[in-house]
Amino acid sequence: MKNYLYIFVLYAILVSASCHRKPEVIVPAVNTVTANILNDFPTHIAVPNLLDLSNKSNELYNSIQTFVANPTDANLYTTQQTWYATRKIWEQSEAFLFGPVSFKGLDPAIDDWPISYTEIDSVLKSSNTFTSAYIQNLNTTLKGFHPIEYMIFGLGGARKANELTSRQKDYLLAVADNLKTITAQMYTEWQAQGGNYALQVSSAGTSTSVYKTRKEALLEITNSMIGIISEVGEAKIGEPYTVIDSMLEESPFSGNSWKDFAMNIQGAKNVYMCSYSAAGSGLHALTDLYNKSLDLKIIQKMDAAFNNLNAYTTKFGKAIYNERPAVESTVQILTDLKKTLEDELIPLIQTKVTN
Amino acid sequence: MIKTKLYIYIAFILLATTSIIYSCRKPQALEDSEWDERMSGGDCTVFDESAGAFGNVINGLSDEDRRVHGVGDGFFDKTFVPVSTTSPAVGLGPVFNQLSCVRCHINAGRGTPPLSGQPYQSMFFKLSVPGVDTHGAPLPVPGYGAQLQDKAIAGTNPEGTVMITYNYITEKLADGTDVQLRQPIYQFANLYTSMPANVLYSPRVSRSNFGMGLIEAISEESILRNADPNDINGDGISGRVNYVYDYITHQGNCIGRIGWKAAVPNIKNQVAKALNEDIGITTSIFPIEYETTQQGGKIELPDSIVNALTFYMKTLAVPARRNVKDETVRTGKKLFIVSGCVKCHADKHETATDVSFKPLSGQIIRPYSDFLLHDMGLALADGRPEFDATGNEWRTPPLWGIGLNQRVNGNTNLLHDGRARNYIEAVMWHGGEAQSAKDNFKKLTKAERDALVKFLESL
Repeated sequence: MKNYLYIFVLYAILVSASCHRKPEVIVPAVNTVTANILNDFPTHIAVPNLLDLSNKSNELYNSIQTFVANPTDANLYTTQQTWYATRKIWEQSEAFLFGPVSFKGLDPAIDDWPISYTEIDSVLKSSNTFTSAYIQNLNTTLKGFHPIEYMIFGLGGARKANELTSRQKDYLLAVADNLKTITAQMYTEWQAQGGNYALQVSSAGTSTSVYKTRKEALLEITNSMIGIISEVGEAKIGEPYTVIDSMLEESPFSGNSWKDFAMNIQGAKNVYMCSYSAAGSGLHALTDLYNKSLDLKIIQKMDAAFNNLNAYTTKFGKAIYNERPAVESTVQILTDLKKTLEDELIPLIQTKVTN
Repeated sequence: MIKTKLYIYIAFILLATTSIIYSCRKPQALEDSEWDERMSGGDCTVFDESAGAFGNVINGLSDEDRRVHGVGDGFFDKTFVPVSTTSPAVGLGPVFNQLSCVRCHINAGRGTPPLSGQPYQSMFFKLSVPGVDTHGAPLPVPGYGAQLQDKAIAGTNPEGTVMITYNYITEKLADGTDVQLRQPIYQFANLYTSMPANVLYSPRVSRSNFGMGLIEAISEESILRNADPNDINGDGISGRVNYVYDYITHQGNCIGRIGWKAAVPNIKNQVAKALNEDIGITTSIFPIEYETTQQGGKIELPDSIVNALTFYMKTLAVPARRNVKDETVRTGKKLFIVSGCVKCHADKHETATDVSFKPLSGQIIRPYSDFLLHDMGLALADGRPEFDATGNEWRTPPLWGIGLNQRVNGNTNLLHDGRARNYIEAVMWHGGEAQSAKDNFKKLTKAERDALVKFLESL
């Protein structure tokens, strides 16, 4: 009889132990974390980044205005440095090109390439007055960052102040004014006194938001972050590298392409860590909650990608011809990072976030 | 005694094993039928509710296929510029509607019609004069062709544009609720040369791109099953195939599957036509430059790239449905069926078996379209026939993914010209063969209408 007792005790222990699962104690924690992420993304990343972009574009316009009024090499240099600084902010903001900037087609009006040389020449030769409305109606390959870059750096990046005609300077100023207007609109679309898209994100999961659940908003942010990593690897680097054509380079006149790409990855890391203007709660907090090793892996891969891009000393347009193994390696690093995010971070959000 | 003990031990082991298996089995989250319902594109479904939901690649592709998809994706996004030293072979225009595919299909989604009096960006106008050409296609307008190009490269005049304004009319539902509808009014403007008085025109908002590979792969049997051109069953709904011309095989009498009037038989025809007419890029399929003087003959984009673009479109996954277990959604679905909507928005198709490309082969899909032509009444008619489609007929548009339009494209506009600003307005524009379904909808209570809308949002 004693033996039977042992057997049944053993049975009970075995069944009980075999069904023992980790308690789901982190459900309240994940709700707090997702709420924090969605609160902090607009206030710590989107709005301050777009405000900086708007302010910097204004500075760029002012520096061009100064240069046009007094076209010295020193003023041209100041303009070039302001262009680099504005570009640095813009490239980071490309990690969250969703919402109104996407719906309203604002992105191409800011950063289309390649530029249309023949049409710029045609516009310059015309007698048209470069009013705001005129520039607004131009094709996007005739305005935004890159026509400005073309004007102030010139082919080969060796522009001298006295090379620009008065017609070119008028055009330069008008295009810079248009860039200032559109970046201001981008900021307005997100901020509370304007389109307030920030509220759409922070109120995700409520009936007033376009995001019916928090998960939807988190996936939006995550996919947008992955999108820029993908674009850098597959399009910005991948296409010129694959077809071996430097004419497809994004910022050929300023020689800034590698820095552009690095800042894109910095933007992705800003989103992941929520670390642009001040430290907040980013996607990192969610990953860390469930899978610390994945969180570490993502951070390491983002850092590796940024450092790799930032380390290039050869200009992009030459590297795709002369340093092909290195560029291939860069593409692979970006592909790996994208794959980790798609194969591990996205499923984590999809399975762990339930509301 | 030993034998008894042995039996007890054996019984214990069996009992313990069985108990472990059954006590630890996880409950099924969804029943099979419900789980299937989420898979609108069968195995080509993707679980993505973000703004990128329409731009995902399907599962099951080889690394090489994924690379080709990526190349096509790159060209889909590519901004074209006029021929120059930097772009010696491929040149935008000289007349065109957009600089790239993605400008009309933002996030691989649908276009947005303009507000009253504003310029349009992601729609265009098809043109013709009465009659058909040797392929049965509409006759192009002398000096304009089959489409109005509203943009041109510097130094060339655009063909013209169309001013769009709206009249507002009100329809009343059975419970007294007013629904305000906006009726578009079109006026040609800035025409570079005179337009014939008998011109026929048709506004077209760009469509979403995902799921086209599956639509192309639907078996002919699956499409023909719903066709009832002479309304033999007497339900007031005909459903006709648009038999069209394939400009690649040079065969007529092909089942039209793509476009607002199903005037295109497959993706590659669509890609080549859009490159030519929308962007002004010639291919081996359409080698004549689409300009006002109709010169040309040079092939700008090689077949390799056209094939990659086609493959990209073919391999875009369908977003999964959401909230299929929600009671209100289920109620909405029942109302969708009993109101008669499902008679044209057929919920299920099978793709044909294709041993050469397994991912799209033998899939059960739920596009909510029969892909047939239906007379939708005078209020929606464009009066412009296209192959077998009359001026009153439109292809039933698939509804999969429409619940994500707001997320992907920032609006919920529907119908060929985007006049409907939401689902209810779209239903209220239905007429002709769909009049009965519309009348049934008008009789619903507010709670029932809300449920039906919630079902549509789940697609």
